[in-house]
Amino acid sequence: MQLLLESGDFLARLLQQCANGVAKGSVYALVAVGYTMVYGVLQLINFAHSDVYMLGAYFSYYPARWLGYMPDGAEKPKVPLYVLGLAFAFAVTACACTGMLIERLAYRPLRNASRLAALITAIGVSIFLQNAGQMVFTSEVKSFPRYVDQTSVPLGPIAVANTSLIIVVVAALMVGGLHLFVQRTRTGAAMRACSHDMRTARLMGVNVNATISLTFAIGSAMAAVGGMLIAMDQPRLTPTMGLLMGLKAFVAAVLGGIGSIPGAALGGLLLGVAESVVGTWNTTYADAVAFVALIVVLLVKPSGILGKAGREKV
Amino acid sequence: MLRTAGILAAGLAAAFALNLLVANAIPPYPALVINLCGISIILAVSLNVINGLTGQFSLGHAGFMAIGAYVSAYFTTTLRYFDPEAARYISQAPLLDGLWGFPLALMAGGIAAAVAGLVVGIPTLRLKGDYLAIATLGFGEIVTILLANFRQVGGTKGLTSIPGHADTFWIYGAASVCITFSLFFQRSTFGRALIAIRENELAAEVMGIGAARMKVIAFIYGAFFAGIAGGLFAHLMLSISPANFGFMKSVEVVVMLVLGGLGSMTGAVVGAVILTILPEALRDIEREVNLSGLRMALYALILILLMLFRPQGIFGQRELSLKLLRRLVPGRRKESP
Amino acid sequence: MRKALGVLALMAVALAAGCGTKIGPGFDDKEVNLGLFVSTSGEIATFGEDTKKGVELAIEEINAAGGIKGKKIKLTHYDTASKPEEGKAAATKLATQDGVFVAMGAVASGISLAAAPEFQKYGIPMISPSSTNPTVTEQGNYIFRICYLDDFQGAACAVFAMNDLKAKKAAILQNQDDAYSTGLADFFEARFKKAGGTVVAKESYKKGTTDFNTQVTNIKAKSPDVVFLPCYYNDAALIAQQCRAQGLNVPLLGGDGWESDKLVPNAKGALEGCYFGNHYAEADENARVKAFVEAYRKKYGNAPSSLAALGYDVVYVVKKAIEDAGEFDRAKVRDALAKLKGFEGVTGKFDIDERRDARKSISMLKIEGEKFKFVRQINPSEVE
Repeated sequence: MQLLLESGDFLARLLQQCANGVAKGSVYALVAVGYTMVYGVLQLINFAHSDVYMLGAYFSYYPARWLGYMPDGAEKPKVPLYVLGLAFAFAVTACACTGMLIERLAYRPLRNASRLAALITAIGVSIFLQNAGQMVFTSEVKSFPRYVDQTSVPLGPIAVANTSLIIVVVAALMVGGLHLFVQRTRTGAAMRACSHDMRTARLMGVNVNATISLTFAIGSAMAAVGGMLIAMDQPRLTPTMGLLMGLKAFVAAVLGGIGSIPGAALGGLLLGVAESVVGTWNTTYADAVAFVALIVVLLVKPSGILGKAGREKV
Repeated sequence: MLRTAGILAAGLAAAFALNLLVANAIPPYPALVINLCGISIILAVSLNVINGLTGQFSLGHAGFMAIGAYVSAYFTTTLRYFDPEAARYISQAPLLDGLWGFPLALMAGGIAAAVAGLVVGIPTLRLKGDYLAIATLGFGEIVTILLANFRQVGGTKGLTSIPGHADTFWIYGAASVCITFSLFFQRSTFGRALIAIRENELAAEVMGIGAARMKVIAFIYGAFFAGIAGGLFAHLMLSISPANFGFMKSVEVVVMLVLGGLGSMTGAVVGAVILTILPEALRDIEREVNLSGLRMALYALILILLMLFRPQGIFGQRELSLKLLRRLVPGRRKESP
Repeated sequence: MRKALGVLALMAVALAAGCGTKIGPGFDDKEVNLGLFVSTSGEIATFGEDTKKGVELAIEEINAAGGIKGKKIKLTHYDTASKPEEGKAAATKLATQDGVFVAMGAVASGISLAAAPEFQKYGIPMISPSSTNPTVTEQGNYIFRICYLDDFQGAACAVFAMNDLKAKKAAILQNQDDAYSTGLADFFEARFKKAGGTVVAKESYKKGTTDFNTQVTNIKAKSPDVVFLPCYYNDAALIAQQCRAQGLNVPLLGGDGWESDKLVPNAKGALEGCYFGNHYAEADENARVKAFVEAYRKKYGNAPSSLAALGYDVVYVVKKAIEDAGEFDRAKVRDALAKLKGFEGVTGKFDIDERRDARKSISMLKIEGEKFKFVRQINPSEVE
């Protein structure tokens, strides 16, 4: 009886961990989508992407502050819905513009150079954004406006924060919508064409530069949404908040098969759930185990779970 | 072979001379920067054999460096770790004492890193491009997580009171050995095979090159010298902790390499020197303008501009010596290939 | 190849040109030059910035009041970018090129450890405001610190959990990449077990983590009486919210890293009724502390964290030591530091002991609304 009870508890705990993992993985997925889109088109690991995510969090913080909903120290008032909309619009637009600007200034001049040259400017942009962020926002840890009151939602034997639920739902909608956009629309077809063969796409009348700009804009907008959602759930803004998230999201993108949007979503969820479930036994080594799992998956499926196997042209 | 021995002898002599110079004529701060440059050179040149020559994108160099640092420091340092049962620190005498223990400890660190390179390399080198990068990145992360939880080497606190054996002679001696071997490597049949793998692995296989074996050997070689660099780093910094060998350290080495010109040994050396001196050179600006973050933002801007103006890296795939000699002395006979 | 080495040698000579080899005295007729090295960029920039603000405030005050023995303080600060090699380079530059009289820094023990041998070598006293690793001050007789050591603070929290909170089962959640965090966790665990309690869960997270739900679920499953969070205020606020969201409502307990006026607002009420140890209690109504908090608030617009308070005190410790020494002589200042007794700073009254560490009591505070209510003081003798 005792044993049964314990195993029942354990099951509930495991279920809770799966829920935790899905919430964690949804954000990984949102950020991973940005990595995967840029990679699909340019074969570039966009290191600066995680810093755009950081900017997204800050950009959704400032509108509330400017409108006086973020007085320092005192009890924070509830923010009306229109401010939330404003913050959302501002963060998404500003990040999309930042993303396009980064592409225009730092990556486009290197489009015909080796991939690694662009990788290094990407690293440079990342370091620059972190430190410029520190100069502008200061390194002081910032909290987040009370857009949504955090409460605990009971779901059968487990409990999740309502903000976590929001993350999962919004992430699912965004990634699903993006997938449809890429698969069903003409612009999406242009993106796929560029990712397949940029030169031929240009011959077919696709405006390659515009398409790449759009790819950066969409990827950055997704990162902005990710930044805003995570700041709602885990309100702690610092200029280096992108570091760990970037690493995880990047790993998720590769795990799922870099270049594939459903892959990024799947990779994010898998990584999140794997970390949480392994963490049930041991949180110290959970990350190490997640990385071992990653290496094993790659050995079995060398181009990620949903990635296309690279055909070698002879 | 004779030529290689000559270069090596010249390099060691130069290291010896530089050591005398550093010990007697150079103030401590530039001396430290020179020493840090030397360590960066070893890291960049050894990674160049993996990334530049063989074309395998590794992001795990800091992991090998960590193994070398910890293993060598383990041998030369009085270990001091927390015993949770007794609730106090336990001290344990060093295994190797004296100055000549140091090269032995360095070798041990290098060999340990090489073994890790073998273990990691055999499975992961089947992966290509960015997938290999991620797998090696994962390896680097695993190393730091394990070190942070291994009490015998101090856990998160790391090792402290490491003897300061790494002077300019050892650092530049090791750099000379690393550069000489790498150059020899590059010019040997073996190096040509590696370059063939970089250019087209399938074609190389068709030509009878055992690509898998070659790649693993290049990986082990790079890991060995990363381990040596780690050992030198530990005995220069006098304390190490897992945080020193994070993911960004690996990225730093890749940046040095690409900035200098991927595939060029001279480029690796120059890239390492520039990127080690740059943050230090910007200190004076920071002292005058009291704005946190400005120094590293400038550093990043300079990096971006350098890359935009020379996307192929400072040296491209060329080497300094041959070209410069030919250009400077037109009448001189061409060196035998 | 030979060329390359030749170039290096030439470069070395070029670097050497124009640099003096003698260590400067660190003062002239009008000014005394103090060095500071903390990370104001990189992952731990927040803590370095806070420390630097405290240091700058103290220097401003001292200079306005006429300086130290008639000399104004000039501050030379170098960023260490959260990297030990930069810490060592900054220390060497401060010691040999700027020739600072006394050096202050760093926050992270790893960086203090890299820097300490340099200052020791040149006989420049170095005082760390907040490096808690015991080995820092073992680097030499010129190396001091004014913060708690992990062993005292961890044990004090364990004693408090046992005796005052009557806890039998404790859980620990530590940042496995931060030596401050693992150090406190280790000593808390050891002391709590020694006193007869059990540590039912010891969970870890990586630095930069913002989602602690996995760890919280594990802790909740073991139903502890108290959760010890040896971390800084930014982590504590998040962890508390996630604990409450999962329905884990036991008291949380922390160390001096929690001190910040951001703690309560960031936690959005989740820390109500929790406890932490600190250098000072605002409720003490200590005039010195009040003046400091007010001045800091006026200058920077927010209340100081414990790191800022330690940065502030470290400058006054330097001033006191120079005044005790009676003259601007590094060896005499060192001796004065070693003999410092009953220094009254904003982080409490403390002595420097024979290990060159600060020996001071810890105030346990309870979080009630926006206020920190003083519960009781724990003295070093109580946990030894």
